[in-house]
Order: sequence, then C-alpha cells, then structure tokens
Amino acid sequence: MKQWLNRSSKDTRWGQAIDAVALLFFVFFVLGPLFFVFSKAANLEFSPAMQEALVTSFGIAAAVTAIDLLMGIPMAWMLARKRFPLKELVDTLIDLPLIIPTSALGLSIALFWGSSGLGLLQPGIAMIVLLHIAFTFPYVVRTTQAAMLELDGDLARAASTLGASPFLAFRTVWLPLVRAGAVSGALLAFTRSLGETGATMLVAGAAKTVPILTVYYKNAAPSDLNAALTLSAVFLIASALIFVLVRQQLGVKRMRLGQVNAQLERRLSRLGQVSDGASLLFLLAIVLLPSFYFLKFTDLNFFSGPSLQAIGISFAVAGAATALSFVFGIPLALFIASNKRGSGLVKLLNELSMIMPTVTIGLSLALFWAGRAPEAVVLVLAHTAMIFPYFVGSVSEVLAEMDENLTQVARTLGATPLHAFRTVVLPLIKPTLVAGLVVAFMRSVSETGGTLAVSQNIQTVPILIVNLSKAGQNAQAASAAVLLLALSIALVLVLRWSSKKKW
Amino acid sequence: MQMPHIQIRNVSKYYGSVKALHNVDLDIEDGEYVVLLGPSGCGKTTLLKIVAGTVEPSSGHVSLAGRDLTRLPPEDRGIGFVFQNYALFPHLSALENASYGRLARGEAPEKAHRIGQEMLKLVHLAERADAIPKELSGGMQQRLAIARALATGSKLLLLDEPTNALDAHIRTELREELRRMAKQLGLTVVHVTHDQEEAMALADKIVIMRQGKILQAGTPKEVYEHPATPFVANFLGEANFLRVTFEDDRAQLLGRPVEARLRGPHIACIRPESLRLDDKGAKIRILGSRAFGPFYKYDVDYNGLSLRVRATHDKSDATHVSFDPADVLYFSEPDEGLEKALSAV
Ligand SMILES: Nc1ncnc2c1ncn2[C@@H]1O[C@H](COP(=O)(O)OP(=O)(O)O)[C@@H](O)[C@H]1O
Ligand SMILES: [Mg+2]
Repeated sequence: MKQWLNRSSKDTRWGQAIDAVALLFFVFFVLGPLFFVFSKAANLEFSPAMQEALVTSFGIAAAVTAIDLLMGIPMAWMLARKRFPLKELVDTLIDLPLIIPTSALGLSIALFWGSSGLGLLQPGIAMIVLLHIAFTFPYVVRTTQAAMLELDGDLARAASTLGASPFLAFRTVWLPLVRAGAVSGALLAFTRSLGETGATMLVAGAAKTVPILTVYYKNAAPSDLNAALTLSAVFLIASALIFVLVRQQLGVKRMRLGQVNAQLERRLSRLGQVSDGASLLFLLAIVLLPSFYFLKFTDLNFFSGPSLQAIGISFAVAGAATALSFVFGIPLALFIASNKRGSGLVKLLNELSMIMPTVTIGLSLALFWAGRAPEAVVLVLAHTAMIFPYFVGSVSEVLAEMDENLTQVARTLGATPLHAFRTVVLPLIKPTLVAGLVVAFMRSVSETGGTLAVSQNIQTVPILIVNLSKAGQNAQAASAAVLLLALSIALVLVLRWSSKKKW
Repeated sequence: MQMPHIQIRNVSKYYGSVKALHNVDLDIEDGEYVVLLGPSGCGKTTLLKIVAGTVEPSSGHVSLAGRDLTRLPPEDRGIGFVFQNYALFPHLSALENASYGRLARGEAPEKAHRIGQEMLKLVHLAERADAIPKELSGGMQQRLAIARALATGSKLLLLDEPTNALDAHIRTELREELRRMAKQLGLTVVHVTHDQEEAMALADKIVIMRQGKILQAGTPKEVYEHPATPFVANFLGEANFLRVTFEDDRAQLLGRPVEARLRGPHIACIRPESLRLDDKGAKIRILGSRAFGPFYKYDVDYNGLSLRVRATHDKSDATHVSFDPADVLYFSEPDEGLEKALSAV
C-alpha cells in the first residue's frame, strides 16, 4: 500500500474531488473517444483480404521485434557494461530516430533504400520492416540497458570467480535477470510496429498491413466503414491478448541450468568484439543513416509559407495537448499508483489505450467528435487522447516504484500530504515528468496516422509531408521535415535546460 | 590441489585521482586465516578483488603458489569469493547456486548437484536446497554464499565483510563456525572486516589498512601490544594519547617520571585497562561512569585532559590514577598532527 497517497480525513473531500475530475476526464476525453468506434459496428464480416493483412501485420511486427532483440541486447550490454571510445556519443545517437516525425522517417527510409538512394529495395514488406526497426530499436535498447544498469555488477563477477566464461555469465546470469526489461521493450516495439500508419504508408508499396487496409476502407466508401471497424476490432483484440499474455510472463523466473558446454561457451566469449562491432554497424547502417538520409534532399528554398504555417499549427496542437495531458495526467497517475479501489482497472484501460493502432484511434475520434466541435478543437482533443495514456503510464510507474518511506518521513516531520507531495514527491519525479512531457510533445508533433483521419482542412507538418511526398515533391517534403526537426530539437533543449533549474 | 601461498607485490590501484591502493605488499601462507581490518573506504574490497581477478591492478603483481596471476581472468583462477552483499543468483535455487561453479566448468549435472548438495550439508542448508535466495534468512544466505564458493573445490576463500548484514548474536555464532570450518577443511582464508573485535576473534594474522596502505601485519597479540602507529593503537581497542617531552631519556607523565631512550616531544599511549583508579598517583576527577557487566568504564579529568579508564571493580570514589611505566607505548609526533593521524581518512 502506498500509505502516503491516502489522504488524511481532513483533506479526503478535496482528494476525492480531484480523483473524480481526473477519472471523468479520462473516461470522457480519452477512453470514450478512443473506443467509441466499436459502438458503430453493425454486422461484422471478415474477408480474406483482412485475414491477409492481419498475417502481414503480425508477421512484420514479429520480425521487427526479433531483430530488435537480437541486435539490441548486445548493444544494450555494450552501453551498460563496457567502456569504449565515443560511448557517450553512441548513447546519445540511439534516441535520435525517435525525434524524427514518423512521416519524415518513412520518407527517409524510402529514399535511402529505394531508387533515389542505394536502389536496393522497392517499397514493400522488407522496407516496412526496416522502417519499423528504425523507430523501435531505441525502445528495446533503452529498456534493456536500464535493466542492466540496475543489476548488481557483483552478480556477474561472482559468476566469473566461480569459473564462468563471459558468455556463460551473460547467458545464465545477465540474460535471465534483465529479461523483464527486454521483454517490456520488445512489447512496446511490437505494439508500435503493429499500429504505425503514417510512415508505413510511404514505404508499403503494394503491401497491406492492417492500418493501411483500414485507411483504405475508410477512404474508399462510407459503406465500407463496417469493414474498417471489423478489422480494427479484431486487430485490437489480438493485440490486447498478446499484450496481456506477454505481460504475465514478466518478472524474474526460476531457472535450471542443465549441462554446460564449457569449451563452446569459452569460444563464444571470444566473439564479444565481433558482436560489438556488429551492433555498432547495425546502428549506423540500418538505423541512423537511413533515418537521416532525408537531410540530403533538403533545399532551403522550400522553406515556404505553407510549411511555416503547418509548423505553427503542429506546435500549437502539440502544446495544447501536452498541457491537457499534464494537468489531468498527474492526478490520474497518482490515482493509479495509490492502489485505491478501481486503480487496477484504470491502469489496464490506460494500457489498452496505448496499444490501439493510431488509425483506429483516428477513425474513432473522427466519428466521436464529428460535428460536435470546430476542427482545431477536435485535433487537440484527438492528440490529447493519443498522448495522454503514455504520459500517465510513465508517471504512475515511477510513483509506484517510489520509496514511500521518504514521504512518510516528510509527514512525521509535520508535512501535510500536499506539502509532502510538493517538497518530496515532485522533485523526485521531476525527471520523469520532464521526459514524459518531451515524449508526449514529440509524439503529438510527429503523429501522422490518427491525424490523417481527423483533419480535413487543417494541415499539420506530418500531413503536409505525406501529401508532398505522395505528390513526388521529395525536396519540399524533406525541407518541411527538417524545419520541424530543428524546431523540435530546440524546444526539447530549452525544456531540458529550464527543467534543470529549480521549480 | 593447489597450495595457496599468495604473494602480493607492490600492488597499486587508482580510480582516476583516487588512490584506492598504494604499493601494497602482503604474504599469505597456506592454511592461514588472515583478517584485513580497516575503516571503510581504505581499500579492503579493492585488494580482495584484485586477488580474485575481478579488478585489475594499476601496477604490481599477485601470485599464487609461485604462479603469476596478474593477467589471468577470474574464471581461470579458481579462487572462492564471498561478496559483501553475497551476490547470490536470485533466479536459481540454493542447490543450483551451490552447483554453479561445477556446472560452469562443464561437469555433468548429476555430479555437480551431488557436490552442491554436500556443500549445502556442510553449511546446514541441505533442507533448503529448493529455496531461492530471497526465501532464505540473512544468515542462511551468507552460508549459501560460502557453500557456493567452496563447491568449486577452491582451498582459498576470500570473504568480504561476510557478517556485516547479520544480527549481532548470529554474527558471533557464524564467526566461530567460519573459523572452525576453515581449520577443519584446511582452507586459506582472507577475511575482510571493519570490526576490530571480529578481527581479534578470528585471525591468525591481522592486517591493518588505512588510506590504501598496509600499516601493520601480525598476530592479534602482536598488533594489540605493539601497534606500529597511533592509528593502529586506536583502531584496535581504545587508547589514551598524551603529549610528553623527553630530556636526557626522562619525561613527566601523569605526574610521575618515566624513562625511555627518546629525545624531544613524543606521544605516550596508554590503554584504558592499563590505568588504575586508586588513592595515589595523579590527582583526577571522575566525570562519568558506566557499568558494562564484567567491567566498568570511567571518563576522568586530569588537569583538563580527559582520559578513559577501565576497571574490573566499581571505583566510583577513586581520587587518583596510576600506571605501570612498562605498559606505556611511545610514538613520535606524526607529521600530519595527532588528530589527523587517528582519523580514518
Ligand atoms: N569502481 C570504483 N570507481 C571509483 N572509485 C572506487 C571504485 N571502487 C572503489 N573505489 C574507491 O576506492 C576506495 C577504496 O574502496 P574499497 O576498496 O571499496 O574500500 P573498503 O572495502 O575498504 O571499504 C574508496 O575511496 C572508493 O570510493
Ligand atoms: Mg568494502
């Protein structure tokens, strides 16, 4: 129990009011709009094309996740436990693909591997896999690395004093103990790959993933709405099942060792440097270079009126959505972390909102808000619904892990709960809050799939990029992306810098 | 079976500008129970890890039975190591933990588990073979860590503050058990602690460290009775330090003349139990007292200096203090000053 979150009787009423507001916001502005789409489903039917799209989507996600793990775990190991020149730099580079708007990323990957670049691939499944690796690789590396950093280094040293070669120590000690971290990163990669729409459209060619088929149905004719809904429903249920099943496998599991081939493991240990080299090469050639290839196509002459206007819109929407998420997200995160009645259910619903494909989100939001509010407001609310669950998820996780003794000490020293929250909890979760805000903002700025579904006349930058690149105007598209990227980086730096100062 | 005769020669270790170890020399004989004693941060763990091979020295050599170990990775050294927080594998059962060393060397699981089981029996954990570490109590975890280290067949055991995390009475019990086991199995042990009582109780040889250097090595009796520096005297038990000045081999100490072949200012060191509370000698005033059961401790004031005195009987109405000049140790005034010379860092 998180005692410190249970307010004393004096402020119970205030506390309940805050909980109620946060919950109402969550239900009416996030959950409701997100899941509204399923209330529109009339007669569900399942066609062979849908079946094929499902297989394609899950196949791609599985391949992407497998490659992420295979290359990401050695990468994480190298970053967490080894020292090498330029380590700091490599550590920073890993996150970079995440700050590129996904539509620009799609454009960049298509240019790099396609006929404008290396000319190795045509748009299609292989290109989708490469695109998805570029934006999911960082998740797997980061979560695995974090788990490795938390692990007591003496465990591996103990294994080596007991005669284990480095590879054996890695296999029997490190790997089982960082499994939870790696799996949760893989799960994130898997669901992101399943749901990504905007960038995938630019590299898919004739291949049809579920989100692409959904967009197709939605655009083809209003009568096909049912097909889009059926597909979304089946897709969501399958994703949720996988999510919940894998989630249960987390946590440290007992292991049995069995026979060890000591000679072989010793020989494998000598491959350490080969694997390090391979990881770095992978990062460079598969993740970084393709992701930033679009820079080559930028042309300063194209920083024109439409792209500046689109940037203004993107930032305004992202700013408003982030602010809403912040204001209503913190109380909800506190509620989830408090272990009060119903907090478990809210947590699950919040997680389900995260695995929803963006195009389904877009579809649902468009239907929910249609005609009820001006387009700009709908856009902000749609983005809020998309980024809110991520913000709440990361903040509540840190709150749940926090050492409650700290706040109890504060309270024995005479602090009121609010004061304890402000002076003890808030400073401790500040890094997470700032990171959460940055991630939320960047997600909103670069969101494509869902925005496509709700926007009619208002163009955000990602929409502009999609439209331009579909029209074959690569230089214009790349230039708009660069402008957005530069401004986003500047904004993130300002946020980071200002967050270092006292609040 | 190897014959542990460990030679540590001129070993230094730097972490950036931190000198964790500085020109350390130490010999450890076969079958010896050696205790490394020193305040925390003085480099004990670093020295132990250099012997085990998990830390590389910045310079110097370590050899075992005549073989230079310096470049050998830990997995090829065959040295048992019990880590400060035990570092038990949380995902393996007690039996798998204990068998890990044998399995890692490619031994068949049946044989490895048989030896693991024997080791568990040795440390009275045979009943808990299936438990995972977090299901075991602190004392059990410590014994499991020892069983795991011994199961490799190593005759050399390095223990890093093995009793630190335990309750006081279990600590004393395990300490005795450790020494009995070491002697029974013919082990060579290097045991790290910052607890002087533990060191006195266990050691064949005590090695006292401070600030990355070895100050003195010897039997408990030697180092207690003939401490090499004021720090050693103070760290092993208690001591009173008084400034004296010798002229013609004579000086005044606590109101009486003492003789020694020394010149100029020195520091006299008298243990609390070497001072006698009495009705003759130097005039004192008792400031406070405390009964410890088998003995009493007094804080007394002598001319504005405070002294610590220990007595076997109640001496609350004493007015004077006296001593036997043979019990006094003299140190030359440390360059850094007495206070600095006594502090841990
Ligand atoms: N990995 C490390 N990096 C930097 N400094 C270290 C490291 N390990 C130990 N030190 C420093 O070396 C000194 C000796 O540490 P240690 O051997 O752990 O001392 P002890 O075990 O006697 O408490 C300390 O000042 C400690 O801070
Ligand atoms: Mg230590």
